[in-house]
Amino acid sequence: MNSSYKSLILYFLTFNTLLLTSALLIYSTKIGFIPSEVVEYYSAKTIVGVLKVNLPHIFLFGLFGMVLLHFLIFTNYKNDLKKLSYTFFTSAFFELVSPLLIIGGLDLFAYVKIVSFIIFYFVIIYISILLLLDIVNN
Amino acid sequence: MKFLLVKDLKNDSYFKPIISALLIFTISYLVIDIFVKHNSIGITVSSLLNTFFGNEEEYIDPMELSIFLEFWHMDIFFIMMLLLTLSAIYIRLCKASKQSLFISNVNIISALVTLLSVAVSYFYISSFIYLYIFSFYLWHILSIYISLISLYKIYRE
Repeated sequence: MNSSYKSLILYFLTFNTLLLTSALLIYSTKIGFIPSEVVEYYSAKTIVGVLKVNLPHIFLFGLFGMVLLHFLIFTNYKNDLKKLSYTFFTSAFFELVSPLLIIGGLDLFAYVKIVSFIIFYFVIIYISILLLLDIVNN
Repeated sequence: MKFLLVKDLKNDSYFKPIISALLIFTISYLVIDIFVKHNSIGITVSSLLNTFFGNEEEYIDPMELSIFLEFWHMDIFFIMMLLLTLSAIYIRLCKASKQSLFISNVNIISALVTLLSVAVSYFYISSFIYLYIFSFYLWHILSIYISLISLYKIYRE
């Protein structure tokens, strides 16, 4: 990997950290990590309201996943790419779909929402760490 | 960074108009972003302080935490994607010269400072608003410059 591109990836990871921080702050202040809080938050929402939030996220999760994961191809961790891609996109899918099911009356999906958010969050951190390690080691 | 699969951007007749369009759209985004910010949260010290902390004399309520966080979250994402793409094009067109790397680094660092200083000024120290305004203009001007230089490199050199 070219050194100028390495620095670009480092910047990307810094922005990524800010993005994760803001996402965590939004999630914790607006929704919460306790299932009852999640149910309470989405009970006051309509399907259209949730879809308005989901709509940009559907595309941006795809774009962000593609950008973040494609960097792994140029590292020594490319063997993990498939596994990480499946985890990333599956958790993103449940993160987006579970609120709709909660509104539909399936309160149990509050657990799915929390777990998928945590998995999604940590898979991004894990991929970022792998990229960072590759840059530092090479 | 393999967004751009074509190595020789300047001499690729298929890729040239695509990159040019992207750069023109980027310039448009940057200019409109200044106007939108001017009319929403403001881009002067007084307007930003009024937006963030409210003003009793002018009956302006302070900005809610959730609204600020959503604004910050969106700004981080758009700046990240914009600068990543723009820098990749610029560095490739300038063949990673020292000057291009310097400008690219200053641009990205000033954008990072913009994002950090706006959060610090909202949550902790309001005087960081000066740093926010300075870095906001700096990264916008540098990004427009980078876009224009890239367009020049594509067609003139």
